[in-house]
Amino acid sequence: MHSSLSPGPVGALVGPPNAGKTTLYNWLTGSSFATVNYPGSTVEYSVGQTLDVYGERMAAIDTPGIYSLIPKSPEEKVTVDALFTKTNPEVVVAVVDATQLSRHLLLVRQLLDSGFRVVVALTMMDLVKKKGATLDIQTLAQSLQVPVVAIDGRLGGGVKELVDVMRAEIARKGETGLRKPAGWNDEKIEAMHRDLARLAESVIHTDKPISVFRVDEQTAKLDSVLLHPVWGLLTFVLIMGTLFSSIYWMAAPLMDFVDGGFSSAADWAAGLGEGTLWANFLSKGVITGLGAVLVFVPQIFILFLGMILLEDWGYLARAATIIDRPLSKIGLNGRSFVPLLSGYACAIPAMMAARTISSKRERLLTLFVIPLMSCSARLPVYALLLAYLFQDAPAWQPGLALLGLYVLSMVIGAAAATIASRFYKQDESSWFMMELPVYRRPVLSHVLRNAFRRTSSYVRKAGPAILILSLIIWAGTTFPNYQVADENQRISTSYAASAGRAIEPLMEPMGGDWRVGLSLIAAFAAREVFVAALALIFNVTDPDEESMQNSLLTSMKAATGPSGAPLFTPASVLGLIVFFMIALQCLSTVAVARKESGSWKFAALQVVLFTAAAYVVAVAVVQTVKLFS
Amino acid sequence: MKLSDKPLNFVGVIKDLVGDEAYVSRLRELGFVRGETVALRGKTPFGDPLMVEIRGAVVALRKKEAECIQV
Repeated sequence: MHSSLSPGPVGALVGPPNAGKTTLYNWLTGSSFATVNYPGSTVEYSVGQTLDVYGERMAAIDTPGIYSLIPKSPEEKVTVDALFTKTNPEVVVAVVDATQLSRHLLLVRQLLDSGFRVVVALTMMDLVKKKGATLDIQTLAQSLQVPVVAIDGRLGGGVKELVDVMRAEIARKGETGLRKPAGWNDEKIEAMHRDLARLAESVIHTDKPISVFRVDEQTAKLDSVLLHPVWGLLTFVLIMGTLFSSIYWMAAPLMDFVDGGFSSAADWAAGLGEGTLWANFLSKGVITGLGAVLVFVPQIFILFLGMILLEDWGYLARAATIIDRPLSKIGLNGRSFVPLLSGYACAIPAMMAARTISSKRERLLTLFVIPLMSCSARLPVYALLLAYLFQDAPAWQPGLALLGLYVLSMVIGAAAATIASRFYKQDESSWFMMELPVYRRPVLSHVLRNAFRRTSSYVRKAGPAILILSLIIWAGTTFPNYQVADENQRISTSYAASAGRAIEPLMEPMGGDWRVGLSLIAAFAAREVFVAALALIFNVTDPDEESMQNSLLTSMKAATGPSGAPLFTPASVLGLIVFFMIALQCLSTVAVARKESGSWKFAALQVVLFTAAAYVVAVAVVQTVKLFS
Repeated sequence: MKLSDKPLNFVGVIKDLVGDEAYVSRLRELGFVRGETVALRGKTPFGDPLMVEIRGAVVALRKKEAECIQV
């Protein structure tokens, strides 16, 4: 499987969750290139190449966290299969948390027992030092009979040495002869734990023997507040509220900047060849499409920045723990929390974050409801529609209504999860069991590096899909009458307009006409395109954004439907809002859902179900409001 | 007696692990083995999961999971 990627030897990183595997993997392979993910219906493992600074290239494999080689869930099986059959690693790096030595060495013993060449990478050494203790690496290596290297996960120290030791291990003669671990019954595991506890005590030297095997004092103190029945909940709401609002308020000026830059670039490109097809393609297709990809980058970067900060500090595991009980009631898991929160920025990184949920059922349920979270692409649409509904009303009214929409999206998501979990039978017992890390001061360089890495990974993964879909929508709204100079006339006679007219009978119960239908179709490229499409079709040509919205509102007020009655009534606008809340109108999300769930059926079911449900609910709302007004 | 029935700040020795094998084997691999000392360190805001200390680490265990630990 790895052969297509690298000709060099293969080293696999294995270890318990949160021991520092992925951090080490990032040091080994660098920030961006040659990372290949193997998706499937199960959690995936990543394959990358070691950086040239470490000498001749090796393939490095990052695997899902495990405590033992005896898999108990399909997810743990991924790691075991990767080790035993899929990748045939020449050397296995066991990543071990130095403060949890006795418990984490069980895996090392099992790896050795199975015949792997093992190198132990010790992480969290700074915490051992902080407790006033020293760890005798040499004695540890002798007792285990494997090389042991200390790694500084946050600054990258020891990584070069680790690579050299890995190379030396690979060069060592002798057959490996793998065999699945056998005879690891309950008694053996218990005896091994006792044995390893003694070993850990013999290699950790300290003047204060009691404190070393105790919970970190500072962590205990912080937890007494942050996990307190009352204060814990308050701080949770405060921390998440801050993160959540910073996604919007801190990102807004940056997003306007990116948006403005692309608008001027599009105008410039259009001016290159006035009215020609290629200038139009460049301006409205390529540049606008690229803008659609990049406009959300500041927001996603800030989201990642905040989450990595909380993760490195040690809070994210606590947040998942706090919210586990309510989420488990609706068929999800505390581990679903981060993906759901990310869904309020964009469903695409949210779905990618769902990989950390180890239970397949809970992961699929999380993936299922993510598109219902009120992502930021809906914001421009809500802004326009609420401005229409609340004309001449004081500003706090649409603001409050917007907040209501966010709360409502949470309620809809919870309802969808509850219903979906009824249909998806429980095939394994749901479990949580999460080790809570020690609180540590985050290292800024590490946080920034990781935020950049994850953001660029988002751009590379989601970018091509968004761009291609934008180009398809561009073609649909441009052809066949691309020679027509008048934009309004061109789009009114386009394929997309024909499609809009074809679905006009469907639009009528929703209080819309073919123009609304056309805008909804265009919104499948990205939801915010709805506003631009409406502006185009109602011939609003103000270049300035603010006056554009005002002109658009005026045009919307004047617009009449097929019967001559006003097209945009409170009923039909409410219907549109409801439709946008539920419908899965983002083809890029569908593409990512397919990839992350490993199933076309899942992605197709999701888009059909949500869009159909959105339509039914929207029609119900429109008809009910009509009845009462 | 089950660990989940003990009051806060209880410290004791694990006698046995009983119950759903999926939980028991996971707990064992995490280091919850007979003879090991465990402590009930606290509850989380919604009352579940519980915070359980084992060999200097805090592990969040759902009540259902902590029920398997006999002390």
